[in-house]
Amino acid sequence: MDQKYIERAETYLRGNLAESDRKNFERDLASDPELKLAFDQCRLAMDVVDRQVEIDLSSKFRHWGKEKDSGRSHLMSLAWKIAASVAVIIGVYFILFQRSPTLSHQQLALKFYQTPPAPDRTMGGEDRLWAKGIEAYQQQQYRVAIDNWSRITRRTPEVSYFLANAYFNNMDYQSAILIFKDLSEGGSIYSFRMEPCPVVFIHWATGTL
Amino acid sequence: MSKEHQSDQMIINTILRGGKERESTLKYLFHHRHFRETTAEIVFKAGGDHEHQETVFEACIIQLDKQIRRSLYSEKSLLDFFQNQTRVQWCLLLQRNQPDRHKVLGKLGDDPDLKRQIRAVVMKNSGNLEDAEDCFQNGLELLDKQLTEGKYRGGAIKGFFYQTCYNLWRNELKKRRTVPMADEALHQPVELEDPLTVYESNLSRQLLDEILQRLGASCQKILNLKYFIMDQLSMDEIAVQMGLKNAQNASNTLTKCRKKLWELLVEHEHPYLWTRNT
Repeated sequence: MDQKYIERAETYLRGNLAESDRKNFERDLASDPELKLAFDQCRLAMDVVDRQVEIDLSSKFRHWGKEKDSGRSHLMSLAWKIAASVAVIIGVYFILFQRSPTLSHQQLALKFYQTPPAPDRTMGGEDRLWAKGIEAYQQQQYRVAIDNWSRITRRTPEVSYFLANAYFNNMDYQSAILIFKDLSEGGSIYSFRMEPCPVVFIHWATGTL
Repeated sequence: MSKEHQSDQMIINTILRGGKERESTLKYLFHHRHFRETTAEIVFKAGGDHEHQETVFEACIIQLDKQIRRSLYSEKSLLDFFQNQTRVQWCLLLQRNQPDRHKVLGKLGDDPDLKRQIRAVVMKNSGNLEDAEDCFQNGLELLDKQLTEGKYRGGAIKGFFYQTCYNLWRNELKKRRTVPMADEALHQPVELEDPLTVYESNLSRQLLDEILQRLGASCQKILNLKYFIMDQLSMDEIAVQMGLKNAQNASNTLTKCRKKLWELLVEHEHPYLWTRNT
């Protein structure tokens, strides 16, 4: 086949012929079998290439669609992770701070406050009430310790300090804070022991921090 | 030149440049929310579902790429293109795929509002309940035929179906020689819009795939280099990419491949004639 037919057909198929040239070509196409064959061959080649492109694009669409889905699912999983973290934080917050507020403050204050260990028996001298109180304090029977220590008539700073701690652990914050404040104004070694912790913990426990 | 037009022109230019730029532009279009929503709105109104919308949207992009590469693109804007092409591709899908057509007809057949509307118009115009039921069923059968014959143009399918049933009942009344329908002036026969234009081969995909398979990789490659975007590459460049000595060798190879392609088609005894399908 003459190359000039192919070139004419391709020029027409490029779509940039002037109106008159286009009409001339279409007229010749109807009457010239050689030109018709060249045109059909070029057209077929274009169709085949277009089909190849279509197949290629369809596979790309699937790939892009998956990318989109995985991007979306990644975002979703991120969103779920954030939501789960928020839920855990809220849950922890509610468990620690919101469930029966006063009680939980008290529990926390009690949990985190370092109750001083029971004093040596000798430190309080031979006082029977002091010794019984120490025994109860050691066994965390703070009510019993309070009963004993509050009956001591000559209350040393040491007795006051441990009595206040017993009140604190027995959740009698009013009594505890009065003694602690009283102690803080004195000049004994117990004045230094209590700043600022016990008062802060009492305020925490009573929700007035 | 408007911003929208400028951006449309940029998209067209990058597709024409081919290679990676074309691919990233097509990917951008694939993820384009507004064009997707435009397609979805038309397809849903026309009785399709999400799966149809996806198929139609992809077909629109393939068609856009083809029209631009083949210098056939003539829309005012890409939005216009997606609106018009969605209708075209939806109609083609319904025309060619019986299962999809029946899915749409099934949905219409189960639509209680539509049934009520047809019943109302028939009973208001000298018909009874049985006539209304017959009219509805005959309407579905006629619609199936109209979809197959390409008489539907991709508009709101419920409206089209209602009009079909209306015309059926009007003709029935004429046959019965009863009084004309009360609100006939409001319901003129469906005017067909401009013919839908789609540029595609009149060879089936199956046949093209068979030819492609038998063509061989080398011919596929050289035809692709020459015709992907016609004359984007010179014969010298094609020769280099094909590892041939010179432009003349490339030209000879191309001629051989076109001939082989033609022979493969003739083997299938297909009366090949390219036309612009309407």
